[in-house]
Amino acid sequence: MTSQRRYYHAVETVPGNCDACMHCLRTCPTAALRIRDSEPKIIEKRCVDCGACLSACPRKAIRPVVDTFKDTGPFTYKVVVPSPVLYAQFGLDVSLQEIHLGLKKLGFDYIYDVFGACLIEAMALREHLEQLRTTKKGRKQTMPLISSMCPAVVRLVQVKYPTLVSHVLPFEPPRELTAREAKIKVAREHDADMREVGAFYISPCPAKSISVLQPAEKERSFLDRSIALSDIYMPLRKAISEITPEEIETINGEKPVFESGWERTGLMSRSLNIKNWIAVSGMPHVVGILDDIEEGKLESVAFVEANACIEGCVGGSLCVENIYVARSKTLILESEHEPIDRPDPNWVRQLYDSGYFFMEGELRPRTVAKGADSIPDAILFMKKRDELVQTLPGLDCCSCGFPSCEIFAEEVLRKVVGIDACPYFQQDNS
Amino acid sequence: MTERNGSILLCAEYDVHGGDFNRAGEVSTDIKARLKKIGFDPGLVRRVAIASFEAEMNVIMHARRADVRLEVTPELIYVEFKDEGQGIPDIDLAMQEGYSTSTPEMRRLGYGAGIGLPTIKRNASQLEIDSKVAEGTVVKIYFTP
Repeated sequence: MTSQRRYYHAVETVPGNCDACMHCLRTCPTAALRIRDSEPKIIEKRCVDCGACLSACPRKAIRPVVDTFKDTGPFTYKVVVPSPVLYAQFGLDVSLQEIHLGLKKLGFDYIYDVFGACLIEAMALREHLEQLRTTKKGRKQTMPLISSMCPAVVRLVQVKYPTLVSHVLPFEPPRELTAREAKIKVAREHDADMREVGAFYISPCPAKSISVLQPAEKERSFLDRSIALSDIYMPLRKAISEITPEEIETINGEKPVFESGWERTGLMSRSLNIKNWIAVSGMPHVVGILDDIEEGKLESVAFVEANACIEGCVGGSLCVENIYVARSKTLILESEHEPIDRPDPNWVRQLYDSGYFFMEGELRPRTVAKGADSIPDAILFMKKRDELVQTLPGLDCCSCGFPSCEIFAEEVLRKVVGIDACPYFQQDNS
Repeated sequence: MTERNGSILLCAEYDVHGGDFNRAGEVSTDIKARLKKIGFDPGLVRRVAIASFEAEMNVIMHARRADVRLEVTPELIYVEFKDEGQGIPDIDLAMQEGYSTSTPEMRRLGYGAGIGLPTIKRNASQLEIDSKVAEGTVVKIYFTP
């Protein structure tokens, strides 16, 4: 029995690599990092797995933790749900059919894309917005809705904006819907138990990987494993290069689709056909928008699509291709492929009414330790902190190993660290 | 009637300059940041921030300058805007939603909808306005957590 919940993370530190350059400290949106004894330390409760530190570290002292693709587990049937970003990692000479064939050669039996789920979820979301609009009660607590697509944003809300938890769209993201649907279909096709079907997600970022291992709001993901896109890329490339002309024959009849899979920021919002949406990407910008929502400045906005990575999932830190090259590639793929057939709106409405899209569990804030228990104590603590900050250089140079002079002062008051850890601090003896 | 008594836990003072649209919102942003850091309920912080912003804008649009004072006691958050300016001839009229004395220039900037004072009232627990024409206005805003 554990009294405190453990948070798994998709990033870990690599001993010996850190040269205390402090790049990671400066980039972390929740101040979850410290450098102690020349090693980065991650504060589990605060980390939201956005991967900003991974991209910021020039020494590879922080690395992603994800399942490797070789480890396909004890499943009889293996389904792969690739992030649409995967298709943008290859040159234009590699077709979608070849990528699918490559995945099959790596041991996956079925490939399920998220495009269909994105399409029906957008339709359902439109219905959901309409319902919220017409029911005045609770509107303030839920509008604007914040997309649940990006797990780093969902976790950021849980950690830093607990009052906005009720704004997070209570829908499963398309990858989860796709995995659930795929498992049902494959199990039915083989008259097998659902547990025999393993669903693997090819993830463009550590946040999505960790959302498979430990979802924010429920016990278990419909996906069984997550594979880092960067990890499967080389084996997949090799598999594609080994495709024989005979194998090409087998896929000639296959007509793959590629359309909006919400891999670029803005696609999800635009698919809603509403006017009052905001699409934001990149952690500092997401933080700015969430601040505004918290302050009640965006009440006229119905929907906020927020992605931790710049430009959205194409900018994920586990991607191989340059984000702008990948972005262009997705645009080309969209223009070159047929979109999928539009489903009957009545059918989607029925699914919505049946609860098909809704999350199983309830999203709750993640409590992070505070400075004091009561308001007077908090003010006293703040005053002491401000006094201490006055004696510090105020450069936020991070040389002490903490993200800012303010946080350093707080930790000094909590006796986590001695004031002499600040190289500029000089005791005023006059 | 809300009384300002009890020990003042926190006090801050600011200057606001009339016509300085470039720095508009700085005071209310600082007030908000301080209250947020203390750990007040975000809903309350939001109310204080909105009311303070409206009061700050009123100074910037209509007055020469103002002294702003923030006080936090265990029972109360108090924000006072004491300005030197034209004053308000008819406070009841000014409290009416839509009533505006702002210039076309201000309207072009998106202000002057005549909802400033009503918005302050809506967000405050209590609002007191005391004004002398050609001298100035004191706006006292009380928030009880």
